[in-house]
Amino acid sequence: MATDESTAKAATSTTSASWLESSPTLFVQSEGQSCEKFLANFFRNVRHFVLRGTGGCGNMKPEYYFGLENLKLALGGDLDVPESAPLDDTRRAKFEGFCLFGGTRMIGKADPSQIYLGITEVFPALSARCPDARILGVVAKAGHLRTTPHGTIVSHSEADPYVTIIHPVQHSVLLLQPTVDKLANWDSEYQRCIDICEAPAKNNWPGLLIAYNGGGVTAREISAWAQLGRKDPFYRVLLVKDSGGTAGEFACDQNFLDEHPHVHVCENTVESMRAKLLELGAIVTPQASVPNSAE
Amino acid sequence: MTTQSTAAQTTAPQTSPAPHTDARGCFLVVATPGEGLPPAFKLFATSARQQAIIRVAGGCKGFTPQASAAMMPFFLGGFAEKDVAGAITRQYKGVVFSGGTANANEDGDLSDDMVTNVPAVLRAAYGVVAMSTTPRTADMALERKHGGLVVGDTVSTRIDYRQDAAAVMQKSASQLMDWDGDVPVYFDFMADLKEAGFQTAVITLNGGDITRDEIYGALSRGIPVIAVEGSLRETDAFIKAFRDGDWSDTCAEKRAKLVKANKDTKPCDDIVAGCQAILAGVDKSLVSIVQLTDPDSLLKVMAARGLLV
Repeated sequence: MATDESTAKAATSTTSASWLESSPTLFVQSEGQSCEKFLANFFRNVRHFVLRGTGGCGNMKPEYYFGLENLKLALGGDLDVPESAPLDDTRRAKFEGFCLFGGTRMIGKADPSQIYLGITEVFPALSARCPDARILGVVAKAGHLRTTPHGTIVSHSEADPYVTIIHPVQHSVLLLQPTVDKLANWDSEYQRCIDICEAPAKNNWPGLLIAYNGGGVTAREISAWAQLGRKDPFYRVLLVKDSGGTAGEFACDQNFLDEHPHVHVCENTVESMRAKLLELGAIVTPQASVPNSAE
Repeated sequence: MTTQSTAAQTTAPQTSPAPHTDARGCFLVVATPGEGLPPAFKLFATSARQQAIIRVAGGCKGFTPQASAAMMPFFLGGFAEKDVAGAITRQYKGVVFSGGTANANEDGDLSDDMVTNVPAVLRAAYGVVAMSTTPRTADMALERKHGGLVVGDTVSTRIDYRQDAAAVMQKSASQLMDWDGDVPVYFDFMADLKEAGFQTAVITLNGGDITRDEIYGALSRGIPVIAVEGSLRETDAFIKAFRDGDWSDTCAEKRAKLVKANKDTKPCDDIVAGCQAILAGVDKSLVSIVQLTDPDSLLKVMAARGLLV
């Protein structure tokens, strides 16, 4: 549990755009419907790379929180690198591309200003650090919606000290529901993300699933990507070792890794994450950055 | 750190844009208006080297041999600026899309005699991304000798396989569509691209009722229209109405048909009134007029609209 100042600040920041323009667009998709307006995000002039981030949220043990910060630094670049550092300094490498993540935030019931850490806090932080990233949330409507002064609640449980809201810091959100009256299951998020990835994959864009911690849903997503990756090079996976949960378990399963050579593993350090993300093309140094429109 | 060098070698990161061409041939989808154009089709637009999309609409009915001969040179001359030595100095590098049909001869070779061939011709000449949406107005067939996709009533009407991607729109597997069935779908596609920062334009020449709807449909959506003067029919009628305020040729063909059949011409009056209302409310700078026999007139408009890079 923490108060994330950077993302909270970004949520209320009105730097160059007005508050309205910087607010995420929200599209609600019922089963059987298309979501063309959300998919139109991929028309933006952003580097062709799809990063899908998944992993632990409410059930993540606090001893694994530190790795979330490592991931932010690895994907968002080292803020302490001096301006004079060379353009090919790998510490300056940042994520450029489209990022699909769970799109939610957990806030305290007793004190809504308290933010419970989870994987979904990593990617919104990139919106301030990575100007050439498009942060896109895919949210399962796991509970009936409630609008509150603290955000739109998408799920809450009596047993938890937190509620889950739509994260205020992202570019666009797709909210999934079977129907107006029925609730979605948590698996629908990753299943829809795989659907969404089909078009970039067919257009030969590179992709990567990064998994940190997580439970049963994360395990099913890792397995699905690992299976898809046998046929299509888009579906590469990066597991963070020692991140706990199922991602940590898969990362130590040598049989699984041997069977799926497109599944990669990094240590739970900034340096190791950065090296792998560079190798897999998810982050680029300013020197290596190439716009799509370049010849 | 665990490394897997073999995997890394086979999945090298791509930092440059992927080639937009499907190695198998022209990417083809069949879609219904309810589901819209598939994302995999739409993303072809993002592989263009310039964030711009131009729809080429209309036809060439009634063209003189001279006008027919002038059509492709008009587009080739208007989409690229060249120096005295013939080297390209500026050009259009975005998406060009159209109705996507082409005439084939007995050997399966496609002609360049129709407006719908413009994207493929510009793709070959300048590397634009060529796409199309085609309403399925007849049952489809696979031509026996070469397997080309026949989409018209005659075996010579094919989908132009020289393009990057083609979408055939149908009501359902068993139901045909009217000739204008793809228009709302492609306008939605253009609107989404426009919202994402693409420049947009519609170039019209000749054409009948559908082309008229495309002209006024584009204007009502804030999409610039480049109308080709001297191309006859509804495009020239539009120019006459826009420039001279003379609406006498708008909907003239339909009106003549109704008169010949001794039917009420009020539907035509309503259409003209609708067009007048649209034109009265739009920014006039959205309209450019160019001449079919003068490629430079198109080149100047393309440059002025920032479409040459």
